[in-house]
Formats: sequence, structure tokens, C-alpha cells
Amino acid sequence: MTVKDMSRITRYEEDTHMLAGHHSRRDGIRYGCLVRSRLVALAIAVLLMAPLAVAPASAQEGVEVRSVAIVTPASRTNQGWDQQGVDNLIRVGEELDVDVEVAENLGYDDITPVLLDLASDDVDLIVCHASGYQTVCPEFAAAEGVPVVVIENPEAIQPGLVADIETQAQEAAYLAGVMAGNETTSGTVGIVVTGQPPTWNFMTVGFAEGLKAARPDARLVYTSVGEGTYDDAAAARQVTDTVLAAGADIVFGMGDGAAFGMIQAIREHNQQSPGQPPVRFIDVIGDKSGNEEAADLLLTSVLFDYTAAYTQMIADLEAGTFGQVYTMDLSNGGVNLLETKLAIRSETTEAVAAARSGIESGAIQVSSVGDAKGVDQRLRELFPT
Amino acid sequence: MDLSAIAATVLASAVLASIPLMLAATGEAIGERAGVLNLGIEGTMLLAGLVAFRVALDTDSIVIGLLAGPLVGLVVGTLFGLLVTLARADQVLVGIGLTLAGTGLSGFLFREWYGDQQPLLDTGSGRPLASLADHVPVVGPALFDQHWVVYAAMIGVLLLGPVLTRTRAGLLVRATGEAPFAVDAAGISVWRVRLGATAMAGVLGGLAGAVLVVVELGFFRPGVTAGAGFIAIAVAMLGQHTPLRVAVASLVFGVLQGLGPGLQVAGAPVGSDFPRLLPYLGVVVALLLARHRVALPAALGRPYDRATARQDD
Amino acid sequence: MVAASVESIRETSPAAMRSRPVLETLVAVVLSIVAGSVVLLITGHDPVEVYRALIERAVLRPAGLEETVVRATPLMITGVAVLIAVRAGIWNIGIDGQVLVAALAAAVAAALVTDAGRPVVWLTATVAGLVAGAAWALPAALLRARFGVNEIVTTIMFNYVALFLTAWLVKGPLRDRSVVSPQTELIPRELRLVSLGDTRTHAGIIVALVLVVLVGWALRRTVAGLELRVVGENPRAAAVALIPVRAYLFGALVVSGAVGGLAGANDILSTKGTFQAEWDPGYGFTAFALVFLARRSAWALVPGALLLGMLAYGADVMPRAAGIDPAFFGVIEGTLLASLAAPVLIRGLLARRTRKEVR
Repeated sequence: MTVKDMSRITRYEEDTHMLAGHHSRRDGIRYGCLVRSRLVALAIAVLLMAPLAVAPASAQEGVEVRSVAIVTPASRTNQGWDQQGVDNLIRVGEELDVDVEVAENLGYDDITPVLLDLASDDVDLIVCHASGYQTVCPEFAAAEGVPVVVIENPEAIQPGLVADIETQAQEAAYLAGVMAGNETTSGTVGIVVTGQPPTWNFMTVGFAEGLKAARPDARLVYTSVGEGTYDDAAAARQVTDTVLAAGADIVFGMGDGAAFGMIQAIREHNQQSPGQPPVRFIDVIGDKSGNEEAADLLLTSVLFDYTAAYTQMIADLEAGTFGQVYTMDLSNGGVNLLETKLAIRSETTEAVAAARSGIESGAIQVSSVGDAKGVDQRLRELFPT
Repeated sequence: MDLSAIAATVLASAVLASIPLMLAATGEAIGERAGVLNLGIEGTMLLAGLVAFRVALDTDSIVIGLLAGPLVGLVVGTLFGLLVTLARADQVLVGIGLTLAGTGLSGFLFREWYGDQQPLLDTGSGRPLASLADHVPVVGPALFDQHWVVYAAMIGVLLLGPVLTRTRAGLLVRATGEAPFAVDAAGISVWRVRLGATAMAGVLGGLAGAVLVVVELGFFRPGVTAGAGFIAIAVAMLGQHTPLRVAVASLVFGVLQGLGPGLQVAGAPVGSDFPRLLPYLGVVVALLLARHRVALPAALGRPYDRATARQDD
Repeated sequence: MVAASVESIRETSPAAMRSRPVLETLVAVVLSIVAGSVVLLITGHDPVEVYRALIERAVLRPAGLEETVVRATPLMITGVAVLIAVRAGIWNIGIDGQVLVAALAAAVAAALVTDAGRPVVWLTATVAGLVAGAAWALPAALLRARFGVNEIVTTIMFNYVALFLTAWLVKGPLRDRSVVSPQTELIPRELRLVSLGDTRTHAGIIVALVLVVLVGWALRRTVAGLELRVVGENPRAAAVALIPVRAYLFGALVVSGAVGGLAGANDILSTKGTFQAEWDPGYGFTAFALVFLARRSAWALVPGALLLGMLAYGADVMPRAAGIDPAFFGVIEGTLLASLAAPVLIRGLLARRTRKEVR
């Protein structure tokens, strides 16, 4: 835990209304002295872990959660996927007065040692924040008896040991597609992805279906910067230039740091073509509107909010009901659309609201396609050339 | 769909993308001409890019940022030069060390300085000839809708050609790469010439990083060069170590890189992975085809050693 | 004067390097630690605390020590791969690509024979890794030996090609359709390499050690090893001595690729179990660091790999333990490489002074 996190804790001190009630052990740990109290926590946790180690599979007893950890493939300041998970877990930690450990930048090498290192610090739960960790984490949980959370792998769940987060990001992406379909004036909309991981693929198909529903005659330009180019801003910029040349006036961009390459391409394009309606950008995962320059062209963002899921799984761990599939969808606010300062037409707002209730009522079914081949196929069905 | 608009943008984008590559590769070419192979260009570009970014942000001036990059490059290049000449350290070893350290330090400092913030510079202005772009089909934007730095860099690199072939300094550099013993015998210090060449290579590598960050992108990210420093080594070789040909090779590489997205946007069913590997395969094929002309300086990679020079040179 | 320069200059020759290799390597290690400390101090961190946490996490804790050994295993193997090429005077910078292609081949091949039991799985993956690694080095080796095309560039280019090619394969034809994320069929734990006792350390380290001993012996004690060295140190003399230089260049690069491939197979058979898109361990540069840290001696690869393995593990756990960005470990590794030259620089400066005095 860094100094910065500590100061954030103080900032959020008053902001603990939500779950302060049933967490009476708050008395035990004081804000300023987390480090010292960790020793106490360690001793207690060792005691608590003892029965767990004997019978890991039957850990339906419930444990007092003192410390949780998150492991991420890239940097926690990558302006995207990794940062959102870490920031959300830290917020939940602050609200529940649970210590949060962050192990970042781990790539897709074997992360077992890091998991073991975390376990040796007696964390009660490890969030494995990458679909690429869906194999290694359940293996680790089975071997060590430490509960883990994986992404997009519902088959892996095990009572007391493995829980799964299903991000129904395609639902919010569908809304973004509806918004794009209503807002585009050129009728051409672009998607730029940095690689084809499941999360990007789900959103690509959801967006395309929303676009098709809102504007059947729209043209969709789908381009991938290339595998694993989350931070290759220069390549993302070059690709976005090309997408803009094809006439796209809205770009749905999925990339962590590389998203800024897309934003810069659009900014420049807008500056070069005064008098024309400006091209706008749809972001994913986080909220970049704090960045002034980005805010000027940010139409919306498909927001991921893990706080409810994290809060629930900690509660479940304490209640002994851990090991389920936690779904983040539109109705529970796990995914959502960001409201930005850009003006949108009232028809658009209505169409998005209608689509939202359609999804929530089940009248609209958004496809859930995670693999690259499936994406190609679905896009060809929707937008035959 | 307007295919000519797409082609025009692919070309214009490729020109811009090729500038940092061209600068770095020219630097590498000069170093190699003097017999020094520098695998540390990637690290130099990153360090210089980060400093250029910060200076440009803090002073609110792209020009001052662009000056800071070469300065960093000069320091790094001189250090590298000292290690591989005076200390006779292995060039490949120190080069890889420089890349590792430069990548690490720039990423580390970026995080220390900016945390989870991502400031952006303005890259949209500073195009003196943009109004001419519409008058020429397809290649108009590539030729005219460019930042002034693009023109300045091209002119600068092209001027380096005659410098290498016509001036005493240029001759010395080339002689040091081909026959260091002869240079030594003429009473000229081999290591001083090499140090000068690596310093120059550092300056150009630093400028490359600064141009990438300040002009092309308008922001820094950890690892933002994404391997450009290594491509530069290939391009220097393909360009047969002459600035003009290096510029052409950089441009061709930039176009090949833009071809993938261009094809995707135009609706060709090529996917994203195969087009991405095109430029790299292209380099290998080009090296094979041009093998008779891509001669490396005879003394490349070898520390000069007066005691054994006779038997080797 | 000539004597002085011989003394000061021929440090790249193995004979001179054996003057005080241990001391000089230690000096380099200390220098890199100092350089790291300066960076930490400037940015307001406490270096003592950072290094203390590193040692505590990666060495003093039993789990950390096991992990350091696990991390050292592929480094040792790739170090041997680099060493073989370096001895022939060629630069195989394509280790990363060879590892990727070999790992994919090993994962796919092993998954085909999971019913046949453990030994068959091991053998299949190993052979697939060796063959794929060699095959990936083949074009560069051919181009170098047959056409004289510089291998530095071709091997780097083939790294990129490997990255995109394996990504395409694992997203498409070779993907395990039962899971969402692009990866090959998982090899169950019970079919992978056995653990050593009750630790995370696995049989791969034994393979690596045997490889070090074998290659170290072959390079020093066999005719081929000695001729390889002549080719590397003085190709002209080798040609005069009727040593088939081209064949040695070709063979060294291909064998280097095969050994690099072994590291890929080792990862699949031990820690990974499956090939995932976006997985790119990037051992190549670290392997170079290792070979030079070991001063081109096979035996010294072992302690060197342990040191670098510790740093690799440190980069994963340190940010948490000491609140610093993992990129910091790049600074340490890089300055360590550059520092290896420092003792030579000092000696060189001293020699210059002596020369001047003589003059």
C-alpha cells in the first residue's frame, strides 16, 4: 500500500455510510496505523487460516476479510482495464476498511509466485483481474486454499474457493452503438481495437448490434491495431487516421494507453477540418473526461464498475457463500454509459433509454461473442460488404 | 467508399510515422559507419522522449521540448561511446543494457512524475503548407499536410548525406568503420572519431524520440516507442548507411505498416495479424534481395585494438 | 607501450577476462545497485528499504527462494542458447521468437498425447520445442551462412513475425474452444514436470543444469567446441585452418534456436501448461545480460541466472512490498550490463596513464 493510497483512505474517511453497519470490527483497525495493525491482522489471519488450510474445499464457514489483493497484467496507471479494477477495489477497501494489496504489471507469465507471495501476506481473497488468468488462478486456489476471483470463466467456480465475474459489457456497448447510430451524420462509424481479447470482442459485437438496430444503413469500419498493442499509441494513431479517412465521424476505441493515440488522431483531424461536424470518440472502461483535451471529444464511455461486485464477494466470503458467478450488467450498474459534457440530440437520449429498458426487460438480447473468429463472423452477418 | 481518401491518409500517416524512424536510423547509420553498432537506440528514444515531453509541457513550447530530446541523446550517446571505445566494452552488451535501462528509467520516471494522469500536447497546428494539400490527388496530404518538423527533419537528414561523403569529418567516420588501422596510422585517434559518431547517433536518436512524442503523438506512455529503436537498426542496414536511402527505407517501412489498417478499412478480409507481420517479413526479404549491396562496415562491432589490428584489417 | 595496451585491450579475450572475473562482476553488481539507489533517492524512495524488501521477499522467504530458482530455470536455458551463438561470434537476438514458436508447438503437441501418460508428454513437448526453436532460427541461419545477411536484424524481425503468427494461430486454428480467452488446450498439472520435493521448483532446473554441464563440456573439451570458438574469435584464421566456417555459423545459430526452444517447452511443461495469446516472456535480452554477466563461461551461468531470477521475481513482488514501479528493475538490469564494462574502463584509464608516463 503506497502513501498515495493511505492519503486516499483519509479522504474517503467520511464516505463509509454504505456498509459501516455490519462491519463492527472497524474498531480494531484505525486508519492511520494500518502498517502496525497489519502485524495484528497477520496473527489473527494466521489463526483464521488454520482451519482453512485443513479443509480448503469446505470453507463455507465464512471468514473475516481483513485484506484483499488484486493482480493485474499491466500497470495500475494504464488508463484502462487494469487501472479501473485497482481503483475500484481500493475504493471498496476503503469503504469496508479492508486492506488492499496490488500486484501489477505481471503480464501473462506464470503469476503463481506472486499469488503465493500474496498468500504469505495472508490475504483473504485474490482478484485475478485478467481473462488470461482464468486457468492459473483456480489451479492456485485449489492448491493453496486461498479464494480467488476470475474473469469470464463461469465453469471454474467452486464453493468457497473460486468466484467468477461476468462482465456483460456487450449490453452497455449496445447502448453505445445505439448512441453512435443516432449521432452519426456521415453514416460511417469506426471501431478500433488493440488486439482481440474476450472483453474487447464482447463489446465489439454489442456495439455493432446496437449500431445496426439504430441505423440499419450505417457502415461499420472495424480495425485492429494488432495483438497486444494496448499501449502502442503510435500504431493506434496511424490506424485511427485511416479509419477517419474512411469517413467515420464516431470512433469506438478499445485500448488502454493506446486510446490516447486514437484521441490525438481525432483531435488533430478536428483541428484540420474546421466547419465540419467534429468527430467524436467513445471510450471504454474508465472515465477520461477529467482530461480536458479528451473531454472535448468524448461522446461517452462504456464504464465498468466493479465496486458492487467486489463488495458483494467480500460479503459472501464473510457469510460463507463465496464461489458464485457475479454478473456486471446494465440493471445492476456493473456496466453503464458515461454521461459527458457533449450535447447529444434528445432523440438519441430517448433511443438509448428505450434500448436500455429493452435490454433490462429482456426484449432485446445482445449477443455474447468472446472469440475473434466469432467477431468476424457476426460482423459479416450484420454489415455484409 | 472513397479509396483514394484512404490511400491518401495511409501515405500521409506513413510519412509522419517514418520521421522518427528515419532520424533514429540515420543516427544508427552514422554510428555503424564508424564501426559502432548501437542496440541502445530504443532506450535513448524513450528517455529523450520522456524528457522532451516534460520540457514541452512545462515550458508550453514544442520547440524547447524538441531541443531537450537531442540533449538527452547527446549525454546518453556520449556515455555509450565512452563505454564502447575507451572502455572497449562489448557494443551489443552495452547497447542492450542501455535499452533495458532507458526503458526502465523512462517508465519509472513517468509514473513518478505523472502518476495516473495523462497530459496531452497539441499536435494539430504548425502545418505551413496544409492549404496546398487539396490541389494534389492522393499524395497531396502526404506531401503538404505535414508538421514543419517533418520538413525540417527531412532536409536535415538529406544534408547529412553530402556531409558523410564530402567532408573530412564524414570521411574520417567512414574510414574508421572500414579500416581503423589506417586511421590510427594516420595519427588520428580512432576512439575519438567513434566517440563523435556515437554522440551524433545519440543526438539523432534523442531527436527521434522527441519528434515521436512531441510532434507525432503529443504524449508519452511507458514503452511508447514499441520497438521503433530496433526497426531503426534494420532500416539503417537496408538503407545501406546512406541518409538518402535510409530515408527511403523508413518511408517504405512506414507505408508497409500503414498498409494493414488500410486494407482492413478498405474491407479486405485480411484480419489484423498478417498485415502486422508484413513489414518485418518485408525487411528480411529486402535484406536478402539487396544482400550484395548491404555491405556492413568491415570493423563493425569490433573494438579497435592496435595490437591486433594488423592481422584483421 | 605495446605491452601495456595488450594488457589493457584484450579484455574481450577469454584469457584476459579470467584475470579477476569474480571481482569485476561483483564491482558491476555493486555499481548497478548504486545506480539504482541514486534513482531511488532522487525520486524520494529509501534504497535501503527497497533492497532489504527485495532480499527478504526473494531470498529469505522459502517461497521466494523457490521462485527465484523457478525463474532462473528458463534464463539458464536461454543463456546456454545465447552462449552457443556468442561463441561462434553470432548474435541470436531472436530468442524471444524461438521461445514463443517453440512454446506453442510444445503446447499443441503435448495436448495431442495427454492420454499416453507423463513420459510421452514430456518427450513430445521437448522434441516439439527443440524442433520448432531450430526451425524458427533456420531462416536467419541460412541467410547468414549462405548469403551473409546479418543475423542481428533478421533474428529481431523474426521475433515480431513470431509474435503475430502465434497470436493468429492461438486465436484461430489452435485455440481451445472450451474457454473464452485465446489459449491452447491445457496440459493438466499431473502431466507436467514433477516438483522437487514439496516445492514449486520443478525438474526443469535439473534439465537446465545438465544442459549447462553438457554444453560447457562440449564447448571446452570437444573438437567441435574448440573449432566453434576459433570461428567466433577469428574467422579468417579458422578458414585458413580449413574449419568449415559457414557450417559452424549455420549450426551454431540453429542449435542456439533449438536450445532457446527448449526454454519454451520448459515453460509449457512446468509453470504455464498452456500457450496464451499475448504471453511473451521476453527472455532474450535478459539471457544476453546473463551471458555477459557470466563472462561467457557456461558454469557461471548458474549463479548469474539465480541473480537475474531473483530480480525477475523481485520485479513482480517489489512494487507491492516497497511501493515502487516495476520498471525500476529494468534500470537495475540495464545498468548492471553497462557496469560490466566499468572495471575495464577503469583499467583502460589506468593503462592510458601508464602509457603517458612511459611516453
